[in-house]
Amino acid sequence: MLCVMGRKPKDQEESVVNCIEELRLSKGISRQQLADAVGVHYQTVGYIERGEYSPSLVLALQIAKVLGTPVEKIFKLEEEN
Amino acid sequence: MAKSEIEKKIDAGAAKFEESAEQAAAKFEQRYTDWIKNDRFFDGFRNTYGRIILIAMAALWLVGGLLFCYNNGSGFIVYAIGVAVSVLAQKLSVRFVFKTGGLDILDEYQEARRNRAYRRAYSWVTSIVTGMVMVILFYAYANVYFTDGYLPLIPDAFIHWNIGAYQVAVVVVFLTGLFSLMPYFAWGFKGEPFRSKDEPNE
Repeated sequence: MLCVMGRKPKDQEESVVNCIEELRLSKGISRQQLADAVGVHYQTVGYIERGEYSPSLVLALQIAKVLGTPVEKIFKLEEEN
Repeated sequence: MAKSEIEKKIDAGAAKFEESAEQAAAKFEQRYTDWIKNDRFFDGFRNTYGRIILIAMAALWLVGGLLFCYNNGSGFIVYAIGVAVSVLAQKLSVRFVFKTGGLDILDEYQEARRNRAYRRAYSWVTSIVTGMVMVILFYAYANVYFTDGYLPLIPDAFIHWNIGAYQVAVVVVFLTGLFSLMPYFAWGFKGEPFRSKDEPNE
């Protein structure tokens, strides 16, 4: 599974990587559909996918639920990659 | 004592009016929310280039107007209106993200970005105001020293500073503009907080 490494957020020492985009595309879900399902704007999904923003635990769990994948399979610390 | 027919009618009418008013308020709030989220008329203000121009113009107007009005003793009304228009343009350019009025229109990313802008703005305002006080203090000292030939205590320096009501009004407009605009400057050049759903998906 390809995990995309985003730019390191300035206010965080640990960078979080995720594979939302790959999972989303594999399930045929658009960015807008995912955004609507978890209650955020679709641009926010883009920021999360690119690693420009690390979501809250609640949002991460919501995304994991929609994608049908455990949250730890989607989000990882950069060093684990 | 039982209510008379007239009282019952008045109560029923009042309840109906209250219900209609609540419905109208809810409808207005919904329309306002839709407008904030989906307005396309001011999109020119919302892209990165638009933000750069708006921020540059607002900053120039704020500082340039202060210097001009303070020194020339004229143009106060135009300056004040210009500052108000600048603030309004900034509000439009970020879809009122700093003043949502309790409306639930921001998600957690937008709130995080807004909060970061507030933190930056606070830091910048603190630095700017401290810097201004230092410059004024230095100017007041130097003014007294070069005219009277002695170095006064700090209170004396300010007592010698003659400033009229007009200049005070100009400074008040400047400070009001500074505090109002700073969060929008701190938001950054990046475009609007969110796009409308009408736009094509990425």
